[in-house]
Amino acid sequence: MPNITTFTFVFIGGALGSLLRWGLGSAIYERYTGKFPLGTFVINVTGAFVMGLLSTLMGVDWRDRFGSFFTAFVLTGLLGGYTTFSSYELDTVTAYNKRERGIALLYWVGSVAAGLLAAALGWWIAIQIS
Amino acid sequence: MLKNMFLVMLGGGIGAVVREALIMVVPQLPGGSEAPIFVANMTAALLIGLTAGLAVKDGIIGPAGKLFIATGIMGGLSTFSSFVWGADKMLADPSLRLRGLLFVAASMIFGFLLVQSGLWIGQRLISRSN
Repeated sequence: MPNITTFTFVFIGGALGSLLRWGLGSAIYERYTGKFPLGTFVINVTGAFVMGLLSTLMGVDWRDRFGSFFTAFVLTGLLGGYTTFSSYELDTVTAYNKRERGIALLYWVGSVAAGLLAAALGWWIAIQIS
Repeated sequence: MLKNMFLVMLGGGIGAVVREALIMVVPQLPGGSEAPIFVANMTAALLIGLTAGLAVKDGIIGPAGKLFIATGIMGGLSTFSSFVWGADKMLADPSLRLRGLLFVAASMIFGFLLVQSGLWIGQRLISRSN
C-alpha cells in the first residue's frame, strides 16, 4: 500500500478515534464527578482490550503497525487515536499536584496494570474463539 | 459543538499521522518496536504539560486551543493501547522480559516527569509574559 494511502487511513482513523475518546470522556465526566480520572481510565483499558483482541484475531505482529488497511486504519489510527498516553500522565500529574497523592498513585499504577491485563484478556479471548 | 468536534478530529488526525511517521523513521531496536511508541508518548507528554501550563486562566492558550492541541494532537500522537499491548508481548517473551519491564517503568516515570517539566516551562513563560 502506498505511503499516501496509509497516511490517509491513519489520519481518518486518528480523527474518528479521537472524536470517540472526546465524546465518551465528556459523557462519563457529565455523570461522574469523583476525583479519580475515570473517563481516561475507561477509554485506555477498553482500547487496550480491543487492541489485544483484534491484533490476535487478525494475526498482526505487534511490531507491524503500517502497510495495510487494518493496521493503518484500525490499529494505528482508530485505537491509537482513541487511547491516550499523554492525558493519562497529565491526569496523574494533576492529581499529584493537587496533593491527591493516593488517587495519583492508584491511577498511575492502576491504569497500566488494568491495561496490561485487558490487552492480555483480549488476546486470551481471541485464542479461544479462533 | 460542531467546531469543537472539528478541532478534536483535525488534531487527532494530525497527531496520529505524526505517530505513524515516527514509526517509520525512528530506528527499531532488534526484536521489538517499542522505540517509536516511546518517542511518540514522551514527546506528547512534554507537550501536553506545556499546553496545560500555557492554558491556565489568562494564559495564552484558550479552551479551543487546548481542545485542538491537548485533546486532539497530543491524544492522537500518544497511544496507550500500543504501549500496553507491546509491553504484554515483551513480558510474555523470556528474551524480552527485562526490556519490557524497563519499557513500562521508563514510560511511566519519564512520562510523569516530562508532563511536570512541560507544566513548569509553561507556567514560567506565562509569568514572564504577564
